Amino acid sequence: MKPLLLLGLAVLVVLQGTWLPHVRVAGVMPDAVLVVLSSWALLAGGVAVAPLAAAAGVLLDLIAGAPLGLSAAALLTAILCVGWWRGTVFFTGIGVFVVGAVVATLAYDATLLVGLQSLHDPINWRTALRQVVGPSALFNGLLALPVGYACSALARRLGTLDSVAHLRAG
Amino acid sequence: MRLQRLIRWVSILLIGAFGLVALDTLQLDRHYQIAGETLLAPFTWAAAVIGDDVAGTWQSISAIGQLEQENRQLRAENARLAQQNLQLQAAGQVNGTLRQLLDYKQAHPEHQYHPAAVIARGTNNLEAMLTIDQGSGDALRLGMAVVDAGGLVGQITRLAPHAAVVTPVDNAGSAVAVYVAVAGGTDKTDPSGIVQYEPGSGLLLKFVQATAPLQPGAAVLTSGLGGTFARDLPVGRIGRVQQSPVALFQMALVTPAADLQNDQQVLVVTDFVPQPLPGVTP
Repeated sequence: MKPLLLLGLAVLVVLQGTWLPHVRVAGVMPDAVLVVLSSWALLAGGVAVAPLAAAAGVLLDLIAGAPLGLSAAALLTAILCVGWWRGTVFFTGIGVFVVGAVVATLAYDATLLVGLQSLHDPINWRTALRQVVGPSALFNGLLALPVGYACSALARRLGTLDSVAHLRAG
Repeated sequence: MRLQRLIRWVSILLIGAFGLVALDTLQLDRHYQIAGETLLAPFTWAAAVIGDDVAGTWQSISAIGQLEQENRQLRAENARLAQQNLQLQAAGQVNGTLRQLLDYKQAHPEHQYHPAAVIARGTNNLEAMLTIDQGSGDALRLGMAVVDAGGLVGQITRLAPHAAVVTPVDNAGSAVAVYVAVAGGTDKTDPSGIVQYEPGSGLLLKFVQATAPLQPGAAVLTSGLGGTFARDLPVGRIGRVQQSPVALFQMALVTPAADLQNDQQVLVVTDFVPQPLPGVTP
């Protein structure tokens, strides 16, 4: 993995904990790290991105002061789900990234909710899904449009795209 | 031959010139002069206008270099002023926040406070967290309450020498013992309960007796029960109340007093450190 990519991911993780919480639409902030990793997982495969997801998750927890490992577990689950889903993809184009981001958000937030419920009190899942997870999935899906294009271009440049040529966007 | 002709012409011109001088001296040529000026006026006017234009154009051409330099200077000045303006706006915002914190401090003089800046926040939509730039090296301790200009933000749950993690009241793991200030109520009759956060629902006031009078808009304050928070820190105001005729407890939405999503500067209440209850391990 190129060191510059790792540096870029580290910067994104820092932004996720400092600047992005102020960028809220309908009460939710974008999960930029999740969207980038899910887009990359669609291009390079879930297993290939898993170590990055784990590292980014630990960094996210360290920055936020959240229970260590929770974000790593949630990101890993999301990335592996996207990797699995990628094998079932039957359509092409940028829409793959959008649906991938939605799938990743659902898996990510569901894992977080399970973690929070095990750490704290029972959670009203219906309300959480309607008020937080749904809007978040939509927001991340929209964010996946530019991120997917950018990741595709980067992957083409780095030659990472050979195994999933059918996912080429644009 | 040729010289003679020249001398003759010069003589004629000289005589003519002297003649004109004589006419002018005697003011005998006034009518001719006026007629001449009238006839020549349009030409002199046109010549003057053209001359002015030419002179102006020439001046403009010669000033282009100077204007370019002046333009560069003005652009640089403009950029500097715009940057200064942004800095002033940011400073104004910080100043406004600090002024509000000072107001809070003056309105609640019963506690001692330590200022801190928020440097990081929760990284997902389900678990809010805050990190502040002060820690154990600044005499902060675990369990100290954090407030902003509106009221209670949360409680310090993790400490480093120069940073502290605050679990805000809008975290699913937070639980604050509160009472509702009812008009005309006393300490014994004010309804009490627990404020907890539920993802998607917001802050909820739970475990309030079904018969207790809960009015929307009533202030919710920390009760100090359990020794986790100092008493009378503002938590929020009652919103919608949910009652059921068969339930033992009623529930209410609470609008937080603190600006939980936009806090930049906060105060740590330093004169109250919760003590662990005997026999209870944290």
